[in-house]
Amino acid sequence: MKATVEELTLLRQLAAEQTDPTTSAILFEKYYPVTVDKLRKKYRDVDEDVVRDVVFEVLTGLIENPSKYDPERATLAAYLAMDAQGDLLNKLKKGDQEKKSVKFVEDWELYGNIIEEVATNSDEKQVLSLIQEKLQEIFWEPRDADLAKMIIRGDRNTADYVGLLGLSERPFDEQQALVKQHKDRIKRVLERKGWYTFEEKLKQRFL
Amino acid sequence: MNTLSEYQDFLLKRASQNHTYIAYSLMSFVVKNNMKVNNLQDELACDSDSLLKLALCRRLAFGDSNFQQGIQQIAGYTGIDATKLASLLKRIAMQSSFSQVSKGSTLTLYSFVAAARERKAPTDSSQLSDDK
Repeated sequence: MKATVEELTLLRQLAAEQTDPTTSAILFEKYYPVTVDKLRKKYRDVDEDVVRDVVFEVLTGLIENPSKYDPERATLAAYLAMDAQGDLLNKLKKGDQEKKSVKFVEDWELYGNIIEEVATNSDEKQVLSLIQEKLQEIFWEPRDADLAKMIIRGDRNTADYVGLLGLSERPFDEQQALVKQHKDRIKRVLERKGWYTFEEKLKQRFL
Repeated sequence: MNTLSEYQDFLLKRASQNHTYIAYSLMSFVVKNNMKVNNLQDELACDSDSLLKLALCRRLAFGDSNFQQGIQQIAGYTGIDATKLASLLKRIAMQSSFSQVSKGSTLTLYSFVAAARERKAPTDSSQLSDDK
């Protein structure tokens, strides 16, 4: 048995039919800051909110399903750190893949609508023009086209979407929900209007 | 009455997106009533540490036989006054029941009935004496 007596007690309380409502908060109090600190020390370049979010999810996962943790294999502290690290790496890897798939438009933010002036070579200029044309064809609403650009660019910062959508006055949870709703809508339109096929063709032609 | 640190604010908002936690009920209440988190602290007469502890507790099922026990456990852990806590959580549950009933859901009609029953039931202790 690797888990400490205190950890086992907490786990039993979590798994009990009549759960003590404070057990989840006690878990957070004991393990959240420690686990966040461990990951922050190891991954200094990663945004702190990303680390916090991953650890939150891991702890919530355990609270909702305590049987995920095997007390025979590791202490709870070690398990949480390991699980959070795994999730963080997956998240970062996924982010990298998304970035790679849109690498050829990574400078879109700089170029935006002034392609003619800043494109540095003819291929680049052509790619950006084609993208702009395609987006204009798909979205007649300028704000939707801007949202699509952000999604294509792999922009993951919710605050940017909040700004574009004019949601800054809304409560945090509402902002998150509305941003997700808009992103899902734009992705569906992109899919339906053949954006991804177009993107593949561009890659084959220019990469 | 101190304000929430950036770290506490993150956790509170993050937990408010998950039905598991009391934060979900608290923040819904704050939003619906155009309140600020500080107003919750005022109402519960607690500091930010206690509020965050409360927010990360599991949500209690109002009308459930363990509701009172849960209130006592949370009050013991957070240091928040049990009467104030019960009163706030009851108001949140009542408000939620009313708004859901107005949407015509069968499930929420049950919540409304349970809330009304709870309101009519004689309180089992002096804890709720100021809940008039």
